[in-house]
Amino acid sequence: MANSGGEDLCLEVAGDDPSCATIVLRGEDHTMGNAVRYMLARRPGVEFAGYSIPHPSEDRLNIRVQTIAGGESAAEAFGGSVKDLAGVADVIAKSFLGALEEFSTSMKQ
Amino acid sequence: MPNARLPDIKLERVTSSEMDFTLLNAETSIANALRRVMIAEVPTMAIDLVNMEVNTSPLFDEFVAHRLGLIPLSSHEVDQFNNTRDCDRCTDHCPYCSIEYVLDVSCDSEDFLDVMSKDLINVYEKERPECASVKPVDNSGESEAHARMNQASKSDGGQRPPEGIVITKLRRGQRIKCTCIAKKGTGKEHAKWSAASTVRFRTDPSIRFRLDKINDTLTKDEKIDLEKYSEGMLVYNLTADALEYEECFQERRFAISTDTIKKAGDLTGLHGVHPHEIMVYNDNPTVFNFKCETTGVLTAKELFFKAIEVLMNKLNSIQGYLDVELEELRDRNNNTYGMY
Repeated sequence: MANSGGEDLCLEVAGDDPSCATIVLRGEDHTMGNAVRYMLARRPGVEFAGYSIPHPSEDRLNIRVQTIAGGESAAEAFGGSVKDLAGVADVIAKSFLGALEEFSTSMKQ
Repeated sequence: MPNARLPDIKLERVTSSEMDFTLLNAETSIANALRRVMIAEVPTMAIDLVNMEVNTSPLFDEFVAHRLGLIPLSSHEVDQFNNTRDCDRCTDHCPYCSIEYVLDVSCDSEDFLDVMSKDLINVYEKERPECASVKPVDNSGESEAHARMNQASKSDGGQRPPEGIVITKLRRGQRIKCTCIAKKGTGKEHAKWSAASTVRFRTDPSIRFRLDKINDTLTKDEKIDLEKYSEGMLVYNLTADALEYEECFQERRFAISTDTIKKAGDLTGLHGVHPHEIMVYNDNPTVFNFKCETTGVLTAKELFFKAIEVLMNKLNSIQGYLDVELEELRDRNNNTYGMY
């Protein structure tokens, strides 16, 4: 399956402009693509964010990021969005635990 | 975190294999990522390799192998297994990355014999306690149909109760003998590894009326007319001369029928009000009603936790790779500048 050989992530920066980058992920699909794209789009300072899977039989997910020149670099914005997404996942896990507790106490009553 | 809504969860119903919950204050992308991970990326165990020795059953080898693959195997201890591909303890397969089963059933009686999933004998049972826990699911949770079936077969007397899933049937003199190797995998690779039989979510209704606008526009008779067309959703309040939502629709959990929308549009159109002005389109939903049901290999709760865990691991590894990549990029840039 995925991840067999090759690198799992590579960063393509065209020229010497750090505000534009394409991040290539292997072993990932629309799950990551769309979620990360969304977090990027919400991020202030990001001018453009998009993702594509060029061909279904090629294990490749492209995430394109362009930020406002002079601000955060595209790679930093990507890293920040991934961190944000992990934060959201963490919040969901915690609130699920809370809800579970609430649910079991309401069941006992 | 400034850049995203922070979701909250409310549980509505929890059984061992089913769970209904509401994800509040979330984004569609997040809800969908969660759904997709629950369906396709939570690892479970399933039979992946079948070595057929004798098969005189009515089904041909590949048919039986496919059926064996689809048998749900309880995977509560799946985290204790390596992926067979990158298991460092063996070159082929071992109790740390797989389970081996033997199926050997022959029919000697006059009757048909059902070969059931319970007939699979776990060869690794004694090797590790985790191995013993991986066995065919004989009752996928607590479905009512199953309970009825069990009840029926008990009251039947001589009939033996259903012991899992029928693999094939044998007549007198027929035999099936094979070894099966179960491995760890995810639904991404083959649906047999998917722990979920259903994970779905729906959002708040996407269209709502702007009742204030409607009440300002329509005459009394037209309001009463619209009430009739609303299929019980709207009530005409005589004292206030206004249309209101029927009480049970106040929670916004409804969809407006096309007939009602059309009638409202026609009526307001008479006053020169465009239908778009009396409707609110909710294109950014924040409430997601989830329903999930597992095949019984994991409990619904486990599925949820494992999904979050998978998501977190993915994000962390991406973060790690990104750091390495950035480091390399920095080095490369320094070198090029050095050359000039």
